[in-house]
Amino acid sequence: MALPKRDELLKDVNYDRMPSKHWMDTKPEFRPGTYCYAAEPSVVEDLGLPNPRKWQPHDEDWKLPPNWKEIVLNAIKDRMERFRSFKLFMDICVRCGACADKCHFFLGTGDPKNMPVLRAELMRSVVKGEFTRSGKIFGRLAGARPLTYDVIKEWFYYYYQCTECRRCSVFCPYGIDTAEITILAREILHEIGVNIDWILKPVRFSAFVGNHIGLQPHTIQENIEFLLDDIEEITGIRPEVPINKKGAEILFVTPSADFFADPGIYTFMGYVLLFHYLGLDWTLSTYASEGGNFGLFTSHEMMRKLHAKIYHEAERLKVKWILGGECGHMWRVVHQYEDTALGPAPKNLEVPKSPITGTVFEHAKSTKIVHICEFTADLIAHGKLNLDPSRNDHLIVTFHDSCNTSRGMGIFEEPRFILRHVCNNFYEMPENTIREKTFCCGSGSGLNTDEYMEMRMRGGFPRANAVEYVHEKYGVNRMACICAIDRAVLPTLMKYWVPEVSISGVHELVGNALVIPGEKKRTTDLRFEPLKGVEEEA
Amino acid sequence: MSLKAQKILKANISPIFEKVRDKVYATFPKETVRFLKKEVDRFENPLGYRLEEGLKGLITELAGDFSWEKVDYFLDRIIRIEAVQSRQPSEALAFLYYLKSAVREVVGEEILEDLGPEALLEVEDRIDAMLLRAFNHYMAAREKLHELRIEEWKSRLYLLLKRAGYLYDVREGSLPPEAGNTEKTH
Ligand code: SF4
Ligand code: SF4
Repeated sequence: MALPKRDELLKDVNYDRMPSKHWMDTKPEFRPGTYCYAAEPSVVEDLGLPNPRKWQPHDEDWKLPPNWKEIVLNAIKDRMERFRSFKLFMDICVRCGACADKCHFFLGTGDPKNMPVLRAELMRSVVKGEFTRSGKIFGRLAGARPLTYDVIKEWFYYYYQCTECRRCSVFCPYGIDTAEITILAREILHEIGVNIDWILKPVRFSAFVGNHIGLQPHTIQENIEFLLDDIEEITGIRPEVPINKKGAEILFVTPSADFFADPGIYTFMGYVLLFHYLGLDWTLSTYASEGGNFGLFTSHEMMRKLHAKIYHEAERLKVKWILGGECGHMWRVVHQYEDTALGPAPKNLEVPKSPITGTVFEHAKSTKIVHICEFTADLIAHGKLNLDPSRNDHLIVTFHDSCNTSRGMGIFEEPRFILRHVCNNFYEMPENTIREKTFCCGSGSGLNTDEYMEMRMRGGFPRANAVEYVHEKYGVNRMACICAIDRAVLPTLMKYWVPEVSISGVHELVGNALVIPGEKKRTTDLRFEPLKGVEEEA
Repeated sequence: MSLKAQKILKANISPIFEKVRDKVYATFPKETVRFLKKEVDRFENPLGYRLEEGLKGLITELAGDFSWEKVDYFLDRIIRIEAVQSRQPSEALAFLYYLKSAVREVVGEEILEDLGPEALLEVEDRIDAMLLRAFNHYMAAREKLHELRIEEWKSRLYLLLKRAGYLYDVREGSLPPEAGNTEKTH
């Protein structure tokens, strides 16, 4: 008896098989969950950026300026002249494929255009097709194609499916950094008004008010008072948080989410307790109240504009040096551009020196900005902190290297050194998923918006998959990180893939462990969760 | 509870697995399949690893003692992935349809000849039951996704909402701790 062949039936039940077309012939489909909304015209206008209008990526007509093609080609030419790296990257790829399977978006979506080599090719093919003779003559045979309306849509789709994480560059024998290509592609798209709201709104608020959601000075102060109430309830101590204090020694800049978002606020409580313990002469600025710099995701000029506020405030408040909080791309900006595009630092700043240990932070000689993990690790190394790691015994901790602090600046050891001193249970994730090979959260570079949730869950899957492994193997229930976007998006990623694991900043755990003179016996951590052993006692 | 065709199924776990895997992989682009099939580390090829682990798990259960607990575990792991691949629900759950085809193609005739139609129907009913159950997992994953969009906004503005007294959730004690844990309800 011949059994019926069932698979043919599927044609009738809404089943799309993947097309086996050449990549140049496939078009992206703007399905909800896979793209970010376009920026509102008022925001684009406020920032003085081109082509403010109402449009959405799923529209057929993107209302580009009539001479869009000319603008884009000129922009490419301009960037090729200004950025040697870009010119080189457009030229030297040998298509060896070493990077192909290294991108978390490829690993999570299986979409070949998310292979870094192909992502770069989206731009390279146009450079060839529009600017080289061979490309014009041989076209597709030479891997070249003309710039069309569909190419613009494709660029938007895939250059906003890259978190600029640089993982691919670690594996490329030529050091081709697809993140740089994405950065420039987005910059070029901005010139014809192709942009996303989630990046430009924070840019506007940072530029006009001082932080991503436009918190006014009094709101920042009220929030902090609220957090101080909690600190007092937990520790019996009420530290002082100086705001806009002129003549303080240190200006402290952290992502604004640490003032109001869960779980960033607990990290903030950790900083405050540490500074109180040390008797540090520090201040916050309500005008430079944002470590994050979404200008990096917009254009080099915008990045410079937003960063300037930090230096201006350091100058106005006459501080000696700047301490930076647990932020991701803030450090990419500092590390990669501070000494060149963004400098020089104002004259009143001095080479940072820890007032507690006397350590001079030579590496920050010219930028004058020190990472809080460097600062704290130095304190611990000098035995300056009285720590009780057992206060973190209810937590089994692993550490996520944020792309920006790891591959963007090379900070690997300090946070681990701190964690090993403030908690007793620390386990690493598998070697090929941490340090310079770390997997991205899947939501970086301004893609942490809710309409993009589905894509974020895919992009973050390789990260979550490694977390799940240590959760199952060692019972890990907390992942520490040193980036505010991570603190915002990893809880969501975990709730989807590994709900047993929660997220915190490293300094939250420092705050838990720090034994402060005059404090009362602690029964809970900074989240009001009972310490281990306390419940049984009660 | 084992099936009449257990012996035949057990002897054919590998060919059934290979067949269903190829059918599932045919829904991915060609360039990707080459990679998915590569024998790499489970951390560097998480998609391939999980899909294969799940499919193998389901077939092993089908051929073995069939515990719903284990079947649910594997279904959930595959479907959590499928539910965020911007596919239609019918596409996302097609892997079970393919499982049925694969079983029919690899051992269908043999079961019919050796054990009669009843035994084959029994196997197919099992897979139908899995497919029905799969809807629960799919819905749960999609609902979770939407819940997370709301949750994330609350966390993002946590202190502002808290100060205004707008938070009505577990963190505030307005709901019992179990209410926050909507995980693994399926
Ligand atoms: S920078 Fe990161 S997200 Fe972008 S292509 Fe490379 S690996 Fe993928
Ligand atoms: S690893 Fe480098 S050279 Fe090789 S394909 Fe990727 S970008 Fe090109």
